[in-house]
Amino acid sequence: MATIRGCLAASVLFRNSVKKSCVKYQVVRTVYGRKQSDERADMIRELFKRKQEAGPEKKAHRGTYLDWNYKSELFAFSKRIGETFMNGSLERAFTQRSYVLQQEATQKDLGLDDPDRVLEDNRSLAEKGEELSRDFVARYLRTALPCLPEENIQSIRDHLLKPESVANIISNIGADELILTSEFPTEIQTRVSTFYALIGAIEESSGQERGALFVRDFIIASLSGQDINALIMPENKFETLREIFLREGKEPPEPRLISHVGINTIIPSYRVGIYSEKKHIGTGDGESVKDALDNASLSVLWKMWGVPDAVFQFPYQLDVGQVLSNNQTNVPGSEWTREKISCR
Amino acid sequence: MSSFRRAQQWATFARSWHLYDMKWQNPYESAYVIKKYLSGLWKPIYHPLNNCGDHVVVINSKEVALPGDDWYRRAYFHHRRYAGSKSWTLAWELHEADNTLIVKKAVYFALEKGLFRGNQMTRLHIFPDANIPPEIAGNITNQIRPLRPVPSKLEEVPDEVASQCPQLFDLPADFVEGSDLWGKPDPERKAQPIRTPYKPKGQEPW
Amino acid sequence: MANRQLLLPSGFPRAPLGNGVGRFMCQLKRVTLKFCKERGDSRGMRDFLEHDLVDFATKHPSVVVYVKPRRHRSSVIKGEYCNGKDFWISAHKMNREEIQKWLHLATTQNDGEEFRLRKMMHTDNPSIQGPWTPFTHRDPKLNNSSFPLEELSEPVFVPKSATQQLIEIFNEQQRTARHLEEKQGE
Repeated sequence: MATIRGCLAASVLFRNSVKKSCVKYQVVRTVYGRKQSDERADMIRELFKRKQEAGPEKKAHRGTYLDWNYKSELFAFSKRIGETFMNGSLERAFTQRSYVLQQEATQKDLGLDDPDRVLEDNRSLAEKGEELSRDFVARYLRTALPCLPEENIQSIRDHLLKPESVANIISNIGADELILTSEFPTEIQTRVSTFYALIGAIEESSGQERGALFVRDFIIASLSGQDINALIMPENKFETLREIFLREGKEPPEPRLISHVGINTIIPSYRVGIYSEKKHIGTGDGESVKDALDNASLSVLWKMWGVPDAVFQFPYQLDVGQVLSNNQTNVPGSEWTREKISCR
Repeated sequence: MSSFRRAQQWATFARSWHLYDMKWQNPYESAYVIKKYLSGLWKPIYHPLNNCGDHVVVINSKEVALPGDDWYRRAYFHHRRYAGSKSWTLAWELHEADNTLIVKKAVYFALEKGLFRGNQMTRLHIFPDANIPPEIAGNITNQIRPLRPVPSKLEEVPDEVASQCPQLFDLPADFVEGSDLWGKPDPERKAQPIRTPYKPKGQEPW
Repeated sequence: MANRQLLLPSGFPRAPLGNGVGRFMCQLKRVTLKFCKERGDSRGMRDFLEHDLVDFATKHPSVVVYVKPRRHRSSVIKGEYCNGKDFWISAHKMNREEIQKWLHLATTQNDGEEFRLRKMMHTDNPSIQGPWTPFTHRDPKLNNSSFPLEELSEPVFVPKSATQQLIEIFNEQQRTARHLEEKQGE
């Protein structure tokens, strides 16, 4: 019985190994006798050992498959993102410098030195696209959050344009396999430059507004599902609040311990309220009085800056033309008062 | 999740500390009130699988009041798992041995059976009198109202008030000043368990 | 809950990259239709290719369609999604309508991945008025008081004692007596 089970297991192994490794054996399905069974088992064992030694299979680029047509892929990609490209600018946006160098080397090896066959890479497009996206994201955030200090606008922009998040966009719109580059799998920096080059290509083909619209729909929209308030964290929360009140010429805010629970345990909870001119302006909880004070200050600051927690809805559909024409920068944190916001 | 939201959740699941004065209260009725707080049933976030029970500090468990003649009728059964080691302890005997046990057992039987019961019991702090250790007293932030009003004893009534009260009935002729009018429960009386152990009919071993 | 559901990855319904927040993007990027030119079980696939393939490709310009004939293998639909996940379904002995339906599914879903819904609802902002805490609706006077409190040491409802009831009856009697006297005086 054990032998039969062993044979069955081995036959499964054999099938797998034949499918996965490139070793070709003719499998004849017959009823095996004792001798053949043993030989077959030995062979399977040997194959298995070799497979273990060879390690995991190398991943192949999708372009090496039979069903692959780069031109159709490019056409479908442009339709997918809903953009039109002129004069092969899409292909140029996907061409990395490393790919151009590789192609030149192969052509030289083959003895081809045709000056007409020079490939253009995406460096100029990427520069253009990066400039547009950095500028537009900041403008968009300023239009959407006019009361927020300039430092926080910068920090949200830096979060949105982190190489990891931009590279993530590229691999989630199905553009990863379309990049013409010498390395595989593609590195983060390659994907980032391709993304910016894509924006540059759209700008070149359909104008600045269309490029900005792409930035809005892919970079700004990636904020959805994220906690924006977590990105707006001043260093010294209560100090920031106090300075604002002093700058406005008002009494400094007064924190009070409103409630507490289980203060002699290892899981205490405190609640601090902040009062100004005998009016309650914000509350915060925390495991210690300091945490609660920080959170209470945050709740007041967020309310003042127009991003109250759990109530604020970020506008994702602002008009691009209106955003591009907004040339104002927000008030920096060191000068921020409510009067400066209300006069806008 | 921002630190603000995290702290909000921390506050939602914070464990409160409640005080319950057991003086002149029926422990078996009070247990169901205490259960509500121990298992977190009073919270809008309650769910049977949600570990959101509170702490309850019970004071004056020494002065608990059992209904009727339960002091010498109610028996607490215990078996040490040795042959012939079953025992029925009367409520007054149990109370004399440990004056927190009656409350503890009442709450234990009131709580839902399950894996949470042991944890919920550890959040019950029983003290025989009103002296609570300061580290526990500092935690208390709420008081549960008692179920019954606490009657005042004649000894506690000031003499001026007591002297104004008219005599309502005549004392018996052989009444001795200072003696107890109704006497104490008879300790010799045989234990009468309220829940008699199950004995199948016609299955006696003898 | 069966084991199959427990072992599934769990999660909440999601839109990759906030799809639809900005612009909508069909998540299927390419589909390969594999079939045999001779075998009967590929009949439906062949019908589909003959009658509906061009319509399908025109309707979905963002999907690259590959057709892969292979001898003596059953037909297969393989889709690839923008996030890199694959969707594979055997179209063995399927008729033309069934293939249409599977392709409709492939073009309308996020990716072919199955997962268990952890809850039937999900929100980023659980409560607008603020979540409940033990401090909600709490009398602020309790913050500065030491326990046990005198006023909380009484039950909410205290029934009338016999003495109280007697006094009330006595007062009522007095009042009626006075009233009768007044009437007689008139």
